[in-house]
Amino acid sequence: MKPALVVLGWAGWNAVLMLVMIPYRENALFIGMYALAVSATAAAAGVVWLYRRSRRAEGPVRMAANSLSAGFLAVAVILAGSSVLFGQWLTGIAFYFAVAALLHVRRERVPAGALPGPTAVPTEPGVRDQRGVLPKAAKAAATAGLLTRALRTLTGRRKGAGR
Amino acid sequence: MTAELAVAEERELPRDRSLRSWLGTTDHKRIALLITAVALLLLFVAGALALTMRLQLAQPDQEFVTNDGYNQLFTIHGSAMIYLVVTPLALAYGLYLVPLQVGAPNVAAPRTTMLGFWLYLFGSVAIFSGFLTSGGAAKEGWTAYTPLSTSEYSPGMGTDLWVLGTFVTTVGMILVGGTVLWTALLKRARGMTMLRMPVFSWSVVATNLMVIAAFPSLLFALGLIAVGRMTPGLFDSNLYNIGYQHLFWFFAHPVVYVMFFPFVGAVAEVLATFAQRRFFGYTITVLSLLAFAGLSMSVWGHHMFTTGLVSDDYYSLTSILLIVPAGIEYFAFLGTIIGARLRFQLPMLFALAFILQFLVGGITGIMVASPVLDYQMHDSYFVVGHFHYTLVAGSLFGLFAGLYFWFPKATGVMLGRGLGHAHFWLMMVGTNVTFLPMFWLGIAGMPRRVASYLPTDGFSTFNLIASIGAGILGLGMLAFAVNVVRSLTKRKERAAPDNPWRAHTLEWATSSPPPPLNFDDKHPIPPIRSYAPLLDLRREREP
Ligand SMILES: [Cu+2]
Repeated sequence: MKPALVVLGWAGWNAVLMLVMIPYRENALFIGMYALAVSATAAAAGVVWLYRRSRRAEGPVRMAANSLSAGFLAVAVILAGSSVLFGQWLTGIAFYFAVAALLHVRRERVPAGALPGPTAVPTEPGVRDQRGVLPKAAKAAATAGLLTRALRTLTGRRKGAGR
Repeated sequence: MTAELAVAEERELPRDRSLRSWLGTTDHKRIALLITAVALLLLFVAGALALTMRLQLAQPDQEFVTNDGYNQLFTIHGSAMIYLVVTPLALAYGLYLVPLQVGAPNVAAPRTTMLGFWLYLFGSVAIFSGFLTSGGAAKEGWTAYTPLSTSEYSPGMGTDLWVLGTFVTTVGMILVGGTVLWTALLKRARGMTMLRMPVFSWSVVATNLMVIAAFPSLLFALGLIAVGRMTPGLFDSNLYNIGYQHLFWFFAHPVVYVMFFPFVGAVAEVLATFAQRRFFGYTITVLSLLAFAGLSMSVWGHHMFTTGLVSDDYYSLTSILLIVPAGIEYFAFLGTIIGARLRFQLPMLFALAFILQFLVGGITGIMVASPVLDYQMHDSYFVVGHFHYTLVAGSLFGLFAGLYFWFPKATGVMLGRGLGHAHFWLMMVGTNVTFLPMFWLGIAGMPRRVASYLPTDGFSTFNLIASIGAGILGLGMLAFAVNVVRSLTKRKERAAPDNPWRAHTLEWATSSPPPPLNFDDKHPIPPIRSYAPLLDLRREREP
């Protein structure tokens, strides 16, 4: 299973459920609302697919050494939001926090060759894949056997019903 | 070579435990613990609000709190439990465990995740700060239906702060859910294919798909309220009112599943571990989780049957279809435990109670999914009983199954067994004594969200029983709190080994608590050949 396909498949399943609304005559406005969510999910699948294709996923994980900028940014957001309630002067303070966040982001970068270096973390397991040709063939044979048996039962029953 | 050396040296350094290092952390485990700590604290606060309500309702005609105060109590109790407690806890479980379970050194984009934490924290403060304003906190219910929530009917700062806080918190949750989803999809260790991810990780994938698809709709709904509060008369048009309900429930049905799925996953891991065997029906469970999550996106109109403006047939059909994936999960649960040598340790007790009790929540849900019954039960205590059975008897028990299970991993300390058992039994008795009578109260006609009732209504006995149950439930939670504090202060005596339960998934291969980047030279990632890599390893060593 490919990750992008999981997301896309899920969006597709939602699209089916959404389309079933049409014969039930749900208001088009609200089918549209569902369609919007489905398209957003499909777009997310596209982003996942593009990321995988770009091979950035295979490169070293780059991780910031600190996250205080996120805290500053959140203060800026909540102050800007409360300025609607408590007065515009709060946006002024929010602005300073936004600037602080921006300045701090640059200090959070990890110096080259230093910590943390997740690439050095052993993520290579000893055995990668067990599925070989033989188990695959056995699986196929078992499935075929089951199918013929199911078919036989079905036809048998039909014959019985006819009698 | 130099990079490796630098990392090796880094690991020798003692862990930075300063406050500054916590507030500026980029470690997914610490961010998850921050969210968990705030959410557990708010669980007790919102629980205290519920106890106050049960005190008011214990007897007819009481004036323990005013009508206005009661409206604030149920609004903030519901809002806090949903937006600030169970949803954040569900996502925090995913944030802590998914990177470990898929063998990633960290969550993708940890600063974005941390931004999610801060927004959640500030949003919570905004919602609760309504109590400090002259008009009191928000009082139109966690659903904030229009036109009730407009400035005409709900003037005052409390509602404004509620809208702001809920909006900001929801943005935070989208950030947390999105980064965890990205991690599961794209940051797995080599060998960890999608179909080797543990059931818990899959439950988190399904959860976060709902987060990214459904949560933005709440932002639109809240935006609509905000515009309506600034534009008097907007909600004179019924299209806006019904539109608000659609936007709201398009979020609010899936959020119930967001508050539930990770705990289904937790219970699955607990069952497999304490049944000492591989989880039964893995692939079909994964598929049914995804189908389940998709279906939950299509049922929102069942909350609007009584408006008479939705397609009852469609929403009833999809709602009743939910029993198919739910049934599959139940079969997988039963298949895992039937005939196994079960170990009845604390996480297992909570997991088994979850399975039994959630059934009541699920079946009463199917009852109200029928429009005919829903017209009768709508806005009655039957509904209150139903969703408390799903969220308390279900989710909260699953949450505690997971908490007792993973607490040693996250803290390096085992939770005490004596107090743990007290917690379990008090909570189990308390939950059923509180919420079971509510079904009869609803059938007898008691409406929800009322501050009082008359002695002649015939609601007195069941209300008294429910209030006594709430007290027992409260005692259980107290036992839990004492247990956590006592266990954490006895770090030495109760030190946890790496894998105290003989569990199957990757997080148990590393130390308790795990090192900053999850795995290191002393705790490498073992070979991954299935969704139970540690079980594979054990089978190899002790055939
Ligand atoms: Cu619902």
